[in-house]
Amino acid sequence: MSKKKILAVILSMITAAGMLGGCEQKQETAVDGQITIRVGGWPLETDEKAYAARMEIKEEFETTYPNIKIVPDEWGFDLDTFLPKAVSGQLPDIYITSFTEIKRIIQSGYACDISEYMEKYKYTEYLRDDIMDLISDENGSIYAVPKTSYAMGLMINMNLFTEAGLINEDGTPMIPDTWEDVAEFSKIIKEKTGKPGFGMSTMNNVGGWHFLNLAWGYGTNKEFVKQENGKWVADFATPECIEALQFVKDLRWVHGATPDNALLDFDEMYKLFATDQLAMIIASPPLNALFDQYGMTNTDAAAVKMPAGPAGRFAQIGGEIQVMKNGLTEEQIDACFKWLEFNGVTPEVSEDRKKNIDTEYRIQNEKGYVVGIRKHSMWKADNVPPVRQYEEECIEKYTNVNPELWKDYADFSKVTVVPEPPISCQQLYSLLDGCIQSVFADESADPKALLEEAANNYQVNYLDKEK
Amino acid sequence: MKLHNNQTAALSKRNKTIGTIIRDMGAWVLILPTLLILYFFVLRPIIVGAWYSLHEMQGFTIKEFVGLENYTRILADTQFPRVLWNTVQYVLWSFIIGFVPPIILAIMMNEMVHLKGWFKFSTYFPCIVPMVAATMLWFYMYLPNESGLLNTLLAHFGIEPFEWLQNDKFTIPLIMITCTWKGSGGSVIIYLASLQGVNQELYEATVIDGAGFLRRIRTIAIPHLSGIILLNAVRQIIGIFQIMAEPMTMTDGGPNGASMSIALWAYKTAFIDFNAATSLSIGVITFFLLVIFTVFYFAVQNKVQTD
Repeated sequence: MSKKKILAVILSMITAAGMLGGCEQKQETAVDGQITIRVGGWPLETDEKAYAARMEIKEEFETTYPNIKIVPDEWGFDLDTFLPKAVSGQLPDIYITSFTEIKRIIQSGYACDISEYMEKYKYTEYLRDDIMDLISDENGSIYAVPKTSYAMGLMINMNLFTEAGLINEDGTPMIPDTWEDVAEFSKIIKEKTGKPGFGMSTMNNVGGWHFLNLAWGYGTNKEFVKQENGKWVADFATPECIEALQFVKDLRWVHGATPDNALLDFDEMYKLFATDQLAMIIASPPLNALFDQYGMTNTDAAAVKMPAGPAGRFAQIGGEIQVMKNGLTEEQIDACFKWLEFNGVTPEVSEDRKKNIDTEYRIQNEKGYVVGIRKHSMWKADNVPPVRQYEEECIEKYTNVNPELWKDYADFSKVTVVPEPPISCQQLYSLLDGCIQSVFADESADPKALLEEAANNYQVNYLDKEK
Repeated sequence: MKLHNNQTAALSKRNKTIGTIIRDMGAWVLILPTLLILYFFVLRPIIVGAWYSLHEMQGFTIKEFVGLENYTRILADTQFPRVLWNTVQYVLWSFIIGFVPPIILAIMMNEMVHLKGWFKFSTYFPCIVPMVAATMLWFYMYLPNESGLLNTLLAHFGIEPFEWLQNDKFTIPLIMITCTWKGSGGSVIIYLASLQGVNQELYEATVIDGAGFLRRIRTIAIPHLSGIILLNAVRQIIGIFQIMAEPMTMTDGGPNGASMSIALWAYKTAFIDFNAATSLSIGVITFFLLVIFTVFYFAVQNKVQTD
């Protein structure tokens, strides 16, 4: 045998070992009726109050259900690590993510069909139809449990508004009711404070995501696509959307409203806003990251409803959802729902579990988050579940901000909430990111040409390939 | 009789083989960790990736064999020509900006009498700065408003702020300046080591013959470095062709795709779009392009070693 053959034999053995090593992990099975579930998004030990409270709930839960063991997992949803964890079977059994992620998770086959349990635990009875659409696939199967929902709005830095004299006598901020008002307010803010009035993140698909609110306000097709002869066709290189993008461009070059940096990511935008360098941002209030990570005080912020465009006032709907990983046993799925129920997340919360909802709001209050605003409801207006009613009581009890500063945002009666487009939305956001970067970076950029190119790319690279 | 002879020959061959294995066992044990690493982190991903790229996938699970369909999708993608051209531009700019300075620095350091150690340290220092820290450092220097360091300097001379990374004509060259600052120290060390292998008597002889600094460089240093220069050139093409982290942290491929490299595109296709098969196809295309350069690299390396 030659040395080459020896090498070949060794490599073959390694290959065989590698192939075996690459085999999919099997799901943990119950031993002696014991069920284990790994719960993601567990607070870090350094976050002492939240950690202690969660461990207390875990202990009580395990006492109530001695056959279920909770394994804490600190992993929180993150695009950079999601796929490797999903492929290697290392995802927590239940974890929190946002509505924007669920479609790609379902399409990748990493979410568990929980339709049966959503009915059993009465979510389907109370959840709004548009929320149900967001968490279901085209066959109506349900893949996520909504935790919270929001409608986007406009957040206001009160320090800059005060400095610019844009405060009413009662201490509330003057409201930029239309996008034109945003431009006008920005001019005043720039003149009085030297700081940009309005900021939009332009990277990581956030620019496109936020731009939808503006585009709808100018009359763009809400779905950004239409169906022709059974095929999806891009429908946003239209005069309405071009007008919206032109407005964004004017914000930068005519009104001097936006920061000079055209490559602004989410974190950078939050940082500018939290440190009084930026007066208004599109966001999903109350945006607790501002107070948690960037040191802003919750009394320095306010929120108003999304400004209106010529075609009306539209705000995108979003929120947090709980997803269970694919491959769980029936017992594990049921255990996950019991865990949610125990935490008071199910619609029909029992008396003895109300204290866990109370604990959550108390901790939010203690951490300096904003407590005191009624968030957009994910429940049907004519069938409000007990959990919502008790949440309202907790909000009342733990309010730590002046509710008047958030009142305008919380009045959802004048806003049309719209879900994200039905198809390849992340790819659409990415293309729109590019358009916004261009109009912010280049004074001579042509919004019409940019949107036509983006629509063509969206059509050829994504829509035409849909089966 | 013939059969007996054949059996004897086979037996003797087997004994010889066993003997060879036993004799070389130490070497095999020593080489095994490297082979394992090579297999698990290079060979297996390439083979499995190429196989998966011929399938329709759901997440990272293969669903159906589709042949070259993923490749035709890539080639028909409207972004592909632009991304490929951007990547070629990265390589070209890396030569324009980053190829000559390490040679000059190495020659300077080789000629230096004083402060040689300090220059060696300061040239190599950026190499030990973590990549993300280095790119963020330059990102803030390039900020387009008055708070950007470069614009602050311009303001001192009464010059209006410049757009830097946001001007799509300058994005790639500016990223390459960052890469040059971060990575040229390694090349300098290689060139310097090579220069220090030059026989000092040669230098002394040219000095006696009246040759000045430039002449010494032209007639001794450059010819001596020519092999290494060629080798570094091929390595640079291979390295820069795979550039991803720098544009990802500085511009995320923007503005409007102006700095999107092929590796960053593959990353986004897999981890943002969750489209693993297409991403793997991009990877395989890049692999074959780089194989061409690698074959050339080995040819050059052989030539350098022979010389």
